[in-house]
Amino acid sequence: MNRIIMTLAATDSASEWDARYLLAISHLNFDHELHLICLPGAVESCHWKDKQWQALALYDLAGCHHINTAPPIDSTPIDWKMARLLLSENQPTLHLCHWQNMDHLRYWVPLIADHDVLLVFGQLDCSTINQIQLQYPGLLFHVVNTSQHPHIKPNEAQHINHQQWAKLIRQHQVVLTWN
Amino acid sequence: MSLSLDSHGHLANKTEWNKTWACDMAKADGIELSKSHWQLIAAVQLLFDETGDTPPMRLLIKQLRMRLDSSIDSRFLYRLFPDNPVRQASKYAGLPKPKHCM
Amino acid sequence: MSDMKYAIQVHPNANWHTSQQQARQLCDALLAEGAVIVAVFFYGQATQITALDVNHDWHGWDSDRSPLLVCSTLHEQQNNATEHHSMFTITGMSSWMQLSEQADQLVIIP
Repeated sequence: MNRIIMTLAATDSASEWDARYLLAISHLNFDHELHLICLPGAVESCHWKDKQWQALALYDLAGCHHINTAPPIDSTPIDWKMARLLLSENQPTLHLCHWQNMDHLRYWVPLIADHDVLLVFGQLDCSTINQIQLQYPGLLFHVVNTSQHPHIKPNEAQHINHQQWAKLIRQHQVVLTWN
Repeated sequence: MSLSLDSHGHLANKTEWNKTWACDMAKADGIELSKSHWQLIAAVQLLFDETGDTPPMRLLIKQLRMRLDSSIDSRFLYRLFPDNPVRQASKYAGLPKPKHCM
Repeated sequence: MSDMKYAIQVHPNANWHTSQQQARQLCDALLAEGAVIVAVFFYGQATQITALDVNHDWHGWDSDRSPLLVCSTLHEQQNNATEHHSMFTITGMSSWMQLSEQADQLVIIP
């Protein structure tokens, strides 16, 4: 529990950057081993000031890694495969995605390895589910039914309920949440 | 001369900070600033310049141990600033209220 | 039966209402599996939970057993309205960090 890996993404909003910084400082304040992974575009869209990056380094950030652009502190260049390894240490991983759009999915999909499972919840319809199946034929994914979205039919192959979601969490040592 | 304060009671413009103002603010809170207080205030000002904020308690203590005295602990800080060491040290140092709340 | 201990962080990146609804239903499912939830922490946009009316999704939750913590810093930043619910505890990060350290797994609901 005390080893925390925080992903920084181009998909984060300005207020989200503030929230992540506060969280990062809090982890360091509690002597947690904090690592940052800057995904593509994260540094370019980052709302942290240089001094904030310096603060993280000063307060014993355990490690910083980046894909593509480097942040203004010591950081190791990595690729998606290495990012996946850092996040999951080769353990089968359950990815949690609050559905936004196909661009958001495409951004995060490279972190999914063989035998991983993607769980999506939120507002997505049957045609979107079909689109995901067509674009990623080997992807093992589930959609959580919500009563607010009755157009997601219970007989959809991907459809699961919260009990099954809980079982998936129990079955996976690593649960990776997409920002 | 009274300086403008922000909505949290901290100095609105930190460039206006001076020792007399700090003494007056501390006195109003019942604190007589000693050499130890001034050391802490200076350290907090320096950390703010480096990082853009005052760190939370544990991180502050770590930095103070490295920069001032390895024996500094939370009891020492609470003796100096009984209400909330991070918040009060920031206030008398002319800095904004720290962003974090632990 | 599972005796796994979970710390649940509701940290939305899209519609926060959906996030907290899903979190509630997932928490119920985890508890039904025999899991322990050490705390639920509402962060980011989810700190607006305290502004919801009394018919919110956490009605009936046993907050003595699994506290519902709301980050005070972000709650204040988001200028949230008066709290309606005594079951939510608006608190600094320490409470959450200390409770989450007791968990076997942290699950963040985006």
